[in-house]
Amino acid sequence: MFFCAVSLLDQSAIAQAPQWQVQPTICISEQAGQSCEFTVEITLLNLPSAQYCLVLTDKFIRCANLAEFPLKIPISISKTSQLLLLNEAQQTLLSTTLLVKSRQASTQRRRLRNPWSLF
Amino acid sequence: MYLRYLFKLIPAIFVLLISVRQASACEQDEQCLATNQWKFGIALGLGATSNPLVGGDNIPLVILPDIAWYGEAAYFDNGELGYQWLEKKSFSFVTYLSLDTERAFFNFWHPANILLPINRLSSIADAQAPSKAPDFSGPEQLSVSIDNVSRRNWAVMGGVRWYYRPNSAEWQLSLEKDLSATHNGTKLDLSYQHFWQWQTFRFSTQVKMIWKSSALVNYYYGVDEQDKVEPSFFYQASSGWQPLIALSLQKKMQNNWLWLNRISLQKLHSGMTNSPLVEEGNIYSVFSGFAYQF
Repeated sequence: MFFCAVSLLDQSAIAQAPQWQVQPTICISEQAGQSCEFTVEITLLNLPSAQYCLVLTDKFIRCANLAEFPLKIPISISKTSQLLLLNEAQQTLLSTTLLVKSRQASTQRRRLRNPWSLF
Repeated sequence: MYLRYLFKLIPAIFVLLISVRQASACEQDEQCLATNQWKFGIALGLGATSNPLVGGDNIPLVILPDIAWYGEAAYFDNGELGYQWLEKKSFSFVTYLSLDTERAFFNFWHPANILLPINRLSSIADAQAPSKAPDFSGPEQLSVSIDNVSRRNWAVMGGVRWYYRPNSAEWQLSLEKDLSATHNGTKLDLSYQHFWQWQTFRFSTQVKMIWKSSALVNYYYGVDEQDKVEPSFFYQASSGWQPLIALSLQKKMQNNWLWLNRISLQKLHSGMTNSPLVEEGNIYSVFSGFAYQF
């Protein structure tokens, strides 16, 4: 009986934990190092009514009330970055990694001499 | 005289070009390299480059390396160290350092160049003492060869090169000057290359006009008192144009293998071929083999 009670308490705590859905989390650029622009949709779950702020790595994006979510945010990144959700006390509540993938593994350059041109 | 002014203008040209360097996507796989990665290849086959000099051995082409590294702007490509100031789809501009390949005809792999026999040492010492008159006593000398003239050194050339690439073709114009004070000579090179691609075959023709200054030609092919030969062999070599035509055929095979073929003919100018050191008017080069790219 005691173990069942503990288990129910755990499930209740998990169900009420703050969560969010950020989609998509991967942006595909043409070449490595190029700026990649995409729009992410953020949905908040299990959070009390309040104002929350979004920060991309060290860059402030915007603040919004819970009622404004789900929110669509245009984002521009050139490398893997962290999207953070902060409360009014500037504490980080949630974080998600945004990845940048390139179609070409690395930047390509045109060769300036003919191959095998040593002789 | 005009070349001297042109070289003085080069720093100003660099400053202008720094601001216009822009990356352009590379579209042809055969000519594209990933940046900041070394590219190695090795070709095994049969071939040779003829040596037009008296006593010179043909240069065997059996193992050919292909070594290249390209950074964001700097590059190393088969012995050429350079920096690309302008990178557009149709235009490029680079500056570079490379060795003057003229020295290769003086038997790079010849044991005499490595072991430096005593009589060669004495000839160099004598050449460095101009007050001492050469001693021509003994049997009459019938010819001059690279084995009995003073040593020619490698020169480090610094150059600028422009590229223009219309469809399936490439123009190059390069101007080089000896930066090592070996001969203080200059070389101008205008080249046109056309490519044809058919399935896995790639065929190209190249036509080139090379101008070599009298300082360059005379350093390697002139004969004077420093060479310790009879005065009747003394020769002052002069500048001139040397046309070259080259054909190459490549076929891509499986697993990074290539089938390589190249043939070229370079005609030498009279200011060089009249030298007693030179016995052939053309340089032939041929190679056929298989290459592997790592």
